[in-house]
This record gives sequence, C-alpha cells and structure tokens, in this order.
Amino acid sequence: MSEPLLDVKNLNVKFQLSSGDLPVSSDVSFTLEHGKVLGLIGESGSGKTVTSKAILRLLPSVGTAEADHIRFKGRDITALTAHEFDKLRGTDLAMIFQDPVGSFNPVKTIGWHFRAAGRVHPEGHGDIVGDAAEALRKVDIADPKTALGKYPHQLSGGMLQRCLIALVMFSRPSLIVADEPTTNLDNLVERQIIDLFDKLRKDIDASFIFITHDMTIAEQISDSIIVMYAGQIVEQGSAEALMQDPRHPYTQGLVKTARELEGNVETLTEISGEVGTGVWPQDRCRFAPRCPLHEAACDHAIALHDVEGHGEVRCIKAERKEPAI
Amino acid sequence: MTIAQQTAPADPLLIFDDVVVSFAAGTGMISRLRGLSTQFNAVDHVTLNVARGEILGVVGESGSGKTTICKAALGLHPIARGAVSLEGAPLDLSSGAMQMVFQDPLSSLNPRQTVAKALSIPLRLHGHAGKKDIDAAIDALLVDVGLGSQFRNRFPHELSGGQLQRAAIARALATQPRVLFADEAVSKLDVSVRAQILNLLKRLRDKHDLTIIFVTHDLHVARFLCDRIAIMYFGKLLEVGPTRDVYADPNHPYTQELLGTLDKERKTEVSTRDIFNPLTDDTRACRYLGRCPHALDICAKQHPSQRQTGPAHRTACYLFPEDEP
Repeated sequence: MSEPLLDVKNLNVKFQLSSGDLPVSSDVSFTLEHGKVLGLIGESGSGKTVTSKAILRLLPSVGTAEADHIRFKGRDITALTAHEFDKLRGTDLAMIFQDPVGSFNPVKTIGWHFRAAGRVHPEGHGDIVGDAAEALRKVDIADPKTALGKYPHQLSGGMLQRCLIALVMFSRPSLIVADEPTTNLDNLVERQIIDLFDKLRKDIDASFIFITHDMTIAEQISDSIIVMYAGQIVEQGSAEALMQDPRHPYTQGLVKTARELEGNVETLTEISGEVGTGVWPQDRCRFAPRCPLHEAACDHAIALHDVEGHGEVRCIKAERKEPAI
Repeated sequence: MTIAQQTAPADPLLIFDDVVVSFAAGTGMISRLRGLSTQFNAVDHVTLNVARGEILGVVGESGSGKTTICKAALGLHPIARGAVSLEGAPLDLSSGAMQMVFQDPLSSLNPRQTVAKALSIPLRLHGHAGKKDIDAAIDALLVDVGLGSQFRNRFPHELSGGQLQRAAIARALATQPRVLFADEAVSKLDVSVRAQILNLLKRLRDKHDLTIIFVTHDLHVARFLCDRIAIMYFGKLLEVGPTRDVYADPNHPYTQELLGTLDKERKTEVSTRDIFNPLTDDTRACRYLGRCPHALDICAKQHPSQRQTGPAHRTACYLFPEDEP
C-alpha cells in the first residue's frame, strides 16, 4: 500500500483558559487509507470533535493544536499558511456538522451555496446548475431544480442534511469529516443518510472520518474504529476486531451495552460512575476510577500498545482473555 | 394476564379519550392577509389507555405529536377536544399525581438552587414532609435515585449529566406521582451513563408501582424498557401493542419501515418519497399515504380507524378488517 491519505502523529490540543491550560486531547495518532471509513467513538468531552476540528483548523480561538505532523496526501499540512490551508478546506478536505441548519446561510438559496462552492473549486465546474442537480439527485432529492431555488428554512432537517451532503460531494473532496451527522435526525432519515454515505464513498472514492457516540452505527459504517476516553485514544483497530473482541474495559462496556440493547435482556450492564469533567490526571489511567480491574499498577501513565491481532489498546491487561465488563 | 398482554387494560389508570391538540400555523401578517392562516392537529383524535405500573413507549419521528400528547396531559398545552382522565376522574393538575422528566436536565433545574432546595419545595408544597422530617424525606429521595445524601448541597453545575438526570427524577418523585412522563430522558446522556438511568427507571417502576410514559425515537431503548409500544405519526396513533408483538410482527406499513431500520443485514430500502405535510396535504387522508407501498383508493378519502390485529394489538390501517360491532 502506498502512502495513507491522512497520517496524524501525536496531535495534542489545549484550551487556554483564564484558569490555565486545559489539555483536551493528548497524543492522538492514526492513519486513514484512501476510500476507507474511520469511526471515531467517544462520549461528549472525550476529544473526538476537537481532534477532527484541530485537523481542519477549526478550533475556537482559545484552542491550540500541536502535532509532530499531520500529513494529508503526503504533505504536512501543519506547515501550510492560513491562506494555503483555506484553499484546501472546503475543497479537498470537508466537514459535515451535526446541525445542517447552521451550515447554510439562511438568507441564501440552496443554489447560491452550490454556485459559491463551484467558484472556489480549483478545477472549476463547467455547468454548475447541471452538476448541482446531479449531486442532489445522487442524494435522492427527486426534484433538484425546485430544491435549488429553496431557502434552508423551507426544507426539513433530513432534506437539508442531504442537501449539505450533496454540497460536500459536489466539491469532490478526498476526505470528509462527518461529526454526528445523523444524531438530530429520525430513524428513517438516519438510515437513509447512512446508506447514502456508503453509496457515495464508492461513487466518489472519498475517505470519511465518521464521529459518533453510537456503537451500532459505527460498526455498520466503519472499516476501522478509534475509541476515545477523557481526551485519549483507549483502543483502535479494525471495526471487526474491536466489535468482536474488544480489549479495553471501557470498549467492552460500550460493546456489551450495545449488544444488550439489540438483544433482549432484563437489566443492562452498567459501567459505574461517570467520566467527569475538568483536568484529567496525566500520570495514571483515566478510566481507573470506573474500572473493575483497577489495581496499583494502573496508577502510572499507561501507553497505547500493540496487541496481536487487535490493534492498539491503552490498558495493562489488554492481553487477558476474559472481558472485564 | 400480565399488563403487557392487554391492550385496553381492565383497570386503566390513565385514559386519553379522543384527544385533539391544535396549533395555529401561518399566524404572520402576510399569511393572514392572504388567508393562509390555518390550524393543524399536532395530536389528532388519539384514544389510548395506560395501565397501572406499565411502561408505555411512545415512539415516533419529530413532529409526530409524541411530546405534545404528554404536555397536553400535564396541562402544558390546551386540549382542543376529548379528555384525559386519571383513575376515572378528570385531571387535577395541582395534585402532583403526574410529573415529567425532560431531555435536558441542566435546563430543567434552577441553577441557583441546591439539590436539597429543589427537592424540599415540592415535598413541602404537596404536604409529603413537614419541617421535622424534611431532611429524612430528601435523603430518601436521593437514595431512591442512587445519589445519596452527599449530593444535598450541590448546585446543578457541580453535577455530571447522569447525576443531573437522577436529581431531576428525584424532584419528579417528590410529589409521589402515579404517572411519570419521560421525554427523551436518556437521549442527551453519554452512552455509558444511559444504561444506568434506564435500569434506574425500571427499578423505580417496580418499587413504587409507577406508571411511566417514555417518549423516545430510539427503537433499541424502547424495546429494552417498555411493556407496550405506541407508534405515532403526524398526530395519529398508528399502532399500539405489547412490545414483543410489535417488534416481532409490526402490522402498520410505517411500523414495518421504521423497525426495518434495525435490521443490519437486510439493508431495508428506506422510502425517500415525500412525507406528509400537515399544512398542504389533505388531512382527511391517511397520514402515511404518500409513502405507503400498499396504498388503496380509500386511503386518500379517510384516515383509517383502529382495528384489532392481535390479542392485544391495534392498528390503524385498511389492510386489516374493521372490528365487528
């Protein structure tokens, strides 16, 4: 295999607050191959959105990101000037947010957004209206000409999310970061959007980073999965290995609850406690307070390490056979 | 017969009798001048009985009226037609016999009140505790929801998401309600905390013989928690039956499509045809007409009545024969 599409090495994000620096994600490293889908799983505050926003340089002004390198198509994009990066983002690197309403200019029509995207595209679009209509048809919008004339508020949430996806596809990006794109949508629309991603990824050969908190969705859509907890990657590997035989106790808890909800049980397995907020300890396992396997050896910084056939796990007991939860 | 096996429970606790809740649309000046002001029924002639001690899941997409029907029962929306009665008597909204837990616990608790204060007000107002025993009553509530008395003097911002939702549930229980409405009460919680709250709701039902009306769009959660499921679509009750029967043998084409999204292998084709528009479409017709693969001539003329489709299973669809008089 040649060079991966995206290669992130030791990405650290901090928020500078009046009370001091707050590390929100630490030592995040991963690679993503061409045409693959990476599922990024974690609770709110686990650092999954911040990680992807750092890659796209969309952090709020208090946030700073440092990395050994972030290579996109072999080029280290951390070295780009703001102007150079602007040309990349929105054309070759794109993001789909949870709330489609906030992604559109409310006083402009859907068609205006396509024209704006067409203008900045480096290769240009010969026939913007025709290409836009084609993109809308691909996301199953039956009457694209009418849709192009509509304002965002005239469309339902599901329609608008599909228009946003069409708009992103229209720019033919190589990498699309989708941040909980179905969380606000109803089940049927969610299913449509998931099917659509699957179809489009084959059509335009794009790679996805799919951020979600839903194990079931991540399993369906991803080739590989990263699980984040309290600002760190705790487990990463192929979707199959991670879902069939999770090795970190936190992942085991998430997978078990997801399986129980799919099946038929009287009581759900609980992971006791909560992740909590604020500054996480730097020098010991962050999951230890909730972990049934917790012992003295966990009160040291734990490194992410390779586990044969299972990718990488941040747990000293990752090699054991029986699940902890 | 257990509760789950009855459709019209022999001894219903809560009865929705032909309830209609109307909202005005097009109330802006231009709409009024053009004569476009109109009313639509967010809840449209819904009849439903809820048994003592059961957990009824109300499932539907956004706009289906599932939240509105709960708010109407609690007096938060006026009921245009029909009536809601509790134990055969018209509702006394000041009795505290029905309580609601909302999706976002942070915005439903007063940020300047400690947990103890938030609990003491309803306890005293409803005469469930006097000056002497108020502390004991507060502690009992906190223990009931798994918090413990160390949380008495905490403010909402000092609690995590799961702790907040437990505090909100404790406050709802302070009036010793018969019926608890839970509107998407776990959908904003982190995945690892969701199982804790779901188990808690089941425990509370068993302990207090509480009736819970659980509004959700999460089909996995509904199956785990609920004894019976009511499927709503644009204000209409399309199907109601024991959870096991509805999931094993969904009768209404909409329910079939909805539950089809759970099937990971089959990849059900989800219809992208236009959904019902309450402002422009004929409100006499079946709400699902535009998307239904089995539509008959009569479906466009009148919305179907409820029919018996199983021992405890009722469905509003012309594909099933009408009840014999």
